[in-house]
Amino acid sequence: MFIDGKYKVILLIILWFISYSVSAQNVIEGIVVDEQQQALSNATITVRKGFDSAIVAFGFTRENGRFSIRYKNYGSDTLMLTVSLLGYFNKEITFLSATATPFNVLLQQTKSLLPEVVVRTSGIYSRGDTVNYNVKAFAQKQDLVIGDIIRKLPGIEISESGTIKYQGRAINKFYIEGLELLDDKYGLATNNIPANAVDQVQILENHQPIKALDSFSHSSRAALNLKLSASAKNKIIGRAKVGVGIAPLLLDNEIVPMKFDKKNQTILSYKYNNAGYNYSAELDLLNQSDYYNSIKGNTLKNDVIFIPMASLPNVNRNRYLFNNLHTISVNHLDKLSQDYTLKFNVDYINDLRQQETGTRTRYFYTQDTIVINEQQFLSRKQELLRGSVSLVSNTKERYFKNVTSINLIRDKDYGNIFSDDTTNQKITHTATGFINDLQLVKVKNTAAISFSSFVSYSNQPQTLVVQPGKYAFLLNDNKEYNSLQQNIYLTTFFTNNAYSFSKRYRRFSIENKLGVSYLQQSFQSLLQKNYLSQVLPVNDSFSNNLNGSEMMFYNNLNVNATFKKWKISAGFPMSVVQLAKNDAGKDNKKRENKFLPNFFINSSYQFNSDVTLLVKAGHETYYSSPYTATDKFILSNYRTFRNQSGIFKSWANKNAEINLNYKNIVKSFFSNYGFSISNDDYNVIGNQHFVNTLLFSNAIRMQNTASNFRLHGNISKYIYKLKTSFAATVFAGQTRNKQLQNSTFSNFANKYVGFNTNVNTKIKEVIVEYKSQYQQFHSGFLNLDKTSKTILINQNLALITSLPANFLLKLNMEQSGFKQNSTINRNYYFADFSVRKKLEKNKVDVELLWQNIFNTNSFETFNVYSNVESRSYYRIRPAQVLLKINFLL
Amino acid sequence: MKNAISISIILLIPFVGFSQHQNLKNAKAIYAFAHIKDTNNVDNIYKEDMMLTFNANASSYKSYTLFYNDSIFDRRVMEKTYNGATTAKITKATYDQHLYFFSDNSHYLVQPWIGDTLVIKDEIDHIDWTITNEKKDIAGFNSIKATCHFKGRQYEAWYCPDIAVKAGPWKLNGLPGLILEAIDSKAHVKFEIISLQNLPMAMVSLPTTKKLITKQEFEQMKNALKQNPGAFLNAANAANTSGALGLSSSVELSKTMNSGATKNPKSISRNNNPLELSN
Repeated sequence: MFIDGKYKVILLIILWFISYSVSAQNVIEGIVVDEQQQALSNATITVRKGFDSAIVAFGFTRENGRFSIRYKNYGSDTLMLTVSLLGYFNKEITFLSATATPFNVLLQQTKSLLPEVVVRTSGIYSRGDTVNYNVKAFAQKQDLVIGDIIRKLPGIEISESGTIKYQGRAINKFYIEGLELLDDKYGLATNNIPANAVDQVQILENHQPIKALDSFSHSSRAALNLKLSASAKNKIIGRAKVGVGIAPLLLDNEIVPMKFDKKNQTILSYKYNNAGYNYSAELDLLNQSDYYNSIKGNTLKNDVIFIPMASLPNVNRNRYLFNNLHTISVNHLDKLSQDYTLKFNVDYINDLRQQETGTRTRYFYTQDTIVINEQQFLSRKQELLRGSVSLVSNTKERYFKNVTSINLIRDKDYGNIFSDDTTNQKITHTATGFINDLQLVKVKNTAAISFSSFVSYSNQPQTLVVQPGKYAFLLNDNKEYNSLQQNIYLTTFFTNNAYSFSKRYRRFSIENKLGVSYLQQSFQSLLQKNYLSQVLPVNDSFSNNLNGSEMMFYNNLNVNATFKKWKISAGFPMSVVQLAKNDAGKDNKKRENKFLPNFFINSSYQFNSDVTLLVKAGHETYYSSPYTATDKFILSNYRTFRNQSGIFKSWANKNAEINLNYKNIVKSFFSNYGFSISNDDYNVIGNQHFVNTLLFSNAIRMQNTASNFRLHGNISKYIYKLKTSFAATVFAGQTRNKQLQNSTFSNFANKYVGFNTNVNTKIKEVIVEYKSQYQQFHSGFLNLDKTSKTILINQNLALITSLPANFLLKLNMEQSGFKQNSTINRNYYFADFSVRKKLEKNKVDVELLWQNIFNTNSFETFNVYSNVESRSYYRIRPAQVLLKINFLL
Repeated sequence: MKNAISISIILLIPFVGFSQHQNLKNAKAIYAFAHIKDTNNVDNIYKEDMMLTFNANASSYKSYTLFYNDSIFDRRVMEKTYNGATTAKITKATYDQHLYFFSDNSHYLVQPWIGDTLVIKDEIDHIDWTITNEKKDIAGFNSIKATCHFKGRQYEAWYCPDIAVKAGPWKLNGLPGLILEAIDSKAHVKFEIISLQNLPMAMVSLPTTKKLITKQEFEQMKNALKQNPGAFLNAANAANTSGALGLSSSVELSKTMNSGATKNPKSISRNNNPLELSN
C-alpha cells in the first residue's frame, strides 16, 4: 500500500522495478519542499481517482522530503494528488495515471490555527500526586483487615510498631474517605477495618496536610487515604472475634463496630485477651516526630524512678508477654459544615502484665568486678485514659486547628527481687497531662503566614517503696528498719508560641520560624524511712526541692533548593536559652545563658537513573530539662542513687553521613552502601562507685566525648532461574566512650560486625522465607586486654502453602542463641503452626493456632556494652492452642 | 554483564531531529477511552481520558488524569473539593506513555517501574490500513473511515484529512490525517475525541535520565515479577532503595499476585479481554 521510511533505498528501487514489471501497479514519486526549498518530512500524500472519490493510495514524505507511492494502474484515468501537512496549505495536483512523472511540490505556510473543539470537558478531579492501589487486585482469601493488604502493596511497608512507610519514610497523615478520624493512632484502622470494605488505598505523594500551605512548602512525605467501597458506607460494619484456647484458659475476644457516612465517622473498639497479644499497641501514636512539644512539656509519662528489669529478649514479644489486657477506644468525627470538623477521641487501656526474669549483671572495673544476681518477679498494672476534642477548618485560604486533650496514666508496679535477700519494690506513678494546641495559617499573596501556640501542664507524682529497709549502715545508723520510700513530685508548665512564614521562589523555598517558649518546673524529691512504725525523713542530703525555668527565643531558617540532579535542604536553627533554678524558699538562684547556633544540611545528587549519592551533615545542641539539675541524691531504683550535682546537662552532636545507592533494575539488582560518623560532647560525666551492690553516681562537670562510626552495605537480587530473591547486609561499627569509676577514668570501645540474610523462594506451591542474623560484639577497655566477645545468632524459616478448599497452612520455625567468650553457649528452638480457612458465605474466618510447639519454657539473652554485661533469662509462654473465629459485622 | 553495558542513559533526545526549520504546528487532543476488560461483566467499562499531543513529526499519548497531577504545580486547576474532603479521588489511571517519532520510525514506551522509569524502544508497528469511501462529521471535522486488523482486533477508525498528521490515539496511527475515533468490531475498545486544542509549543520529549532498555529485557522483567512476585519485590525493597511500583495497570499485578502460592480462582479472570489480543 505505501512505503514508509524504514525501508532502505535499495528496497525502494527494487520495488519500483517490480511494480513496473508487474505493470498492474504504478509508482508516483516526488519531493515536497517549503518556500525556502527545504525538504518537508511527514507530509501526507493521497491519491484519488476524482475530486470527491475514494482514496486509492496514500503515503508520507521521508526526512529528505521525498515520497514514493505505489498505486493501481488505472490506465488513462485522471488522478488527483493531494499533499498536505499540518501548518501548511494543501496542494492538489491532477495528473494522468499513465504519465506519472516525479513531482516537485511546494507548500506554503499557513498562519491559521486548527479549529478548536470541545465535545465535552474531561472529568478530572485531582490534587496532589496520587498513587492508587486497587484493593481487589491485591486481595487474597486470607486477608481479614486492610492492614493485611497494605502490608503487601509494593512501595509500602508497615513496621513492627505499626508505622506505615511509603518509600521508606513514615506517612504524615492517615485518612479515611479524606477525613482524619484517628490522627496518629491509625493502627486502630489498619488492624480493624475489614479488607472488603475498602475499594482503594491511595498514596498521596508530597502531601501537604495544610491546604493553605500547599503552594508554599513542598512536603516530601506522603499520606495514605482509604476509599471505602459503596457497600461499606452508611451502615454499621466492622468485625468481631471469639478466641478460646488452653492452657490455662486463654481468651482473645474483640468487637469493633464502625460506621462511615458523608457527615459522620465512628470507630468503636473493645478488646480483651490474656493470650499474649499486645493490642494496646494499635492505640499508640505513630507519628512521634511531631511530639517535640509534648516531650518538652513532659506530658508523656516520664519515669524518674523504676524497677530494674531484664532487657527485652530478641524473640517475638508474643512469646514472653503474660498479660491481661482490656482496651476500649471511642472515636467520632462530625462534619459541622463544609469548613469545620469536630472530633472526639477517647481511649482507655487497662493492662496487667506479669513477668519472671533473672539477670546476672557484671560490672568490670580496672581493679575489680562487681556481680549482681537478681531474680525478678514483676507485676505491672497500667491504666491509661486519654481524651481529646479537636476542631479543624482546612481551606485554601486559611487553616485553623485547635486540639484540647487530657492524659491520665496510673501505674502500679510490684516487683519482688531475689538477690542475696528478698526485696519488694512498689511503684505508683500517676501522670496527669493537659494540652491545648492551636495552629493558624493564612495566605497572603505570595506568602503564607502561620502562628502556633502550645500550652501544657503536667503533674507526675511518683513513689517507690522498698521493703525491707535497705542500707541500714548508711541510712539508719546500722539499725534494721521497715521500709524506704522515695517520693517524687514533678509539675511542668510549658508554652511555645511561634510565628512563621514561607515563600517559594523558583527553585528555592524558604521557611522561617520565629518563636519563644517558656518552661516552668517544680521538682521535689523526698527520701523517707519507716522505722519503728514512724515515717521519718532520711537525711537532708537526700531531698531536693527546686524550681526550674527555661526561656528560649529561637529562629529556625530552612532553605530548600532543587536543581536538575541536586536536591539540597539546609537548616539554620538558632536559639538563645536561659536556664535557671533555685531551691525553694532560698535565694540561691543559678542561671545559665546559652547561645546555640546549629545547622544541618541534607543533599542528594542523582548521577543517573542508577546511581544516587546522599550526603548529610549537621551540628545540633541538646540540653536536659531544668528539673534534672538536682543537687541531692535520688533513689532511682532499689540499688541506685543518682545526683546531678546541680549541673544543667547539655551535649552537642556532630554527625556526617554518606550513602550511595546503586541499582540495576533490568538485572533486578539493588544495593546501598553507607558510612556514618557522629560525635557527642557532653558537659558532664557521672562518677560511679559501688558500696557493695549499691551504686552511687554523681555528676562532675567536665567534657565527656563519645564517638561512633558505622559502615554498612546491602545488596539484593532476584534470580530469575531460581524464582528466588536473595538479600544480604553486612555492617560493622565501633563506639567509644569514657567512664569515671571510683574517680578513675576508663575508656571503652565496643566493636561489632554483623551479617544478615533474607531469602524468599517458591518451591512448587510452597513459599519459603528464610531470615538469619549473625552478630559479633567485642567490648571492653580500650587499652587493656580485658574484652569480651559475644556472638548472637537468630534464624527464622517460614513455610506457607495453600491446600484445596481454601485452607492456608503456615509453619514457622525459629532458632535463637548466643555464644559468649566460647564458654557459654545457648540455643533455643521455637515452632508455631497455624491452619486457616475462610468460610465465605458466613463472612467467617476460622484459625487454629498452635504456638510454641516444642514447649520451650525459658529463654536467655546476653547483652554487653562497655564494662557492663548482663545475662538474662525470661520465662516464655508455654505451648498454647487457640481457636479463633473472626466475624464480619 | 553484557546487557548491563548495553543499557545506556538517554539525555533528552530532541524530537525535531532533522527538519528543524519546518513549521510545526502543535496541538492536543483528548480522547475518551473505554475498554470492557471482562467480557463476563460487560456493564463494567473501564473509562479514562487520554491525552494525545502531536505535530507532524511526533506524538505523545498518555493519561490525561496523570498529566493533570504532574502539572498541578504549574497550573492550579481547582476543583470543587470532593465532598469537602482533604483529598480528591482519581479512580484509575494508565501509567505508561507512548511516544512516536515518525521521522526515524521509532516508538518509545515510557513505563514506570519499581522506583524508576523505564524507556523501551522499538519500531513503530506497521498497520495495514484500508481507506474506505465512507465519510462522516465528527465534532465538526470532516472525517473518512479506514479499517485495519491490529493486535488481534478489527478496528474501524475515522481520520480527519484536514489535520494532516500521522498521529492517533494509543498505537493506532499511520493514516493521512489525525485519527478522531476508533472502535473495535466487538465494541470492546473505543477511542473518541472529546476536545482539540492548539498548543503554543511542543510537548513531546523523552524524559531526562531514564533507563533505556530493549523490549526483550522488559519482557524478562515482567516475567520475573509474575514468577514469584513476593520474592521479586523483596529484592527491590531489601536494599532500602524502596520505591513505588507503577505497572501499566493494576490488572497486571492482580494476575501476578494471584498466580502466587495462594491461588484464588475467582479473581484470576478479572481481565480476560486485554487491549492487545495478539502481537
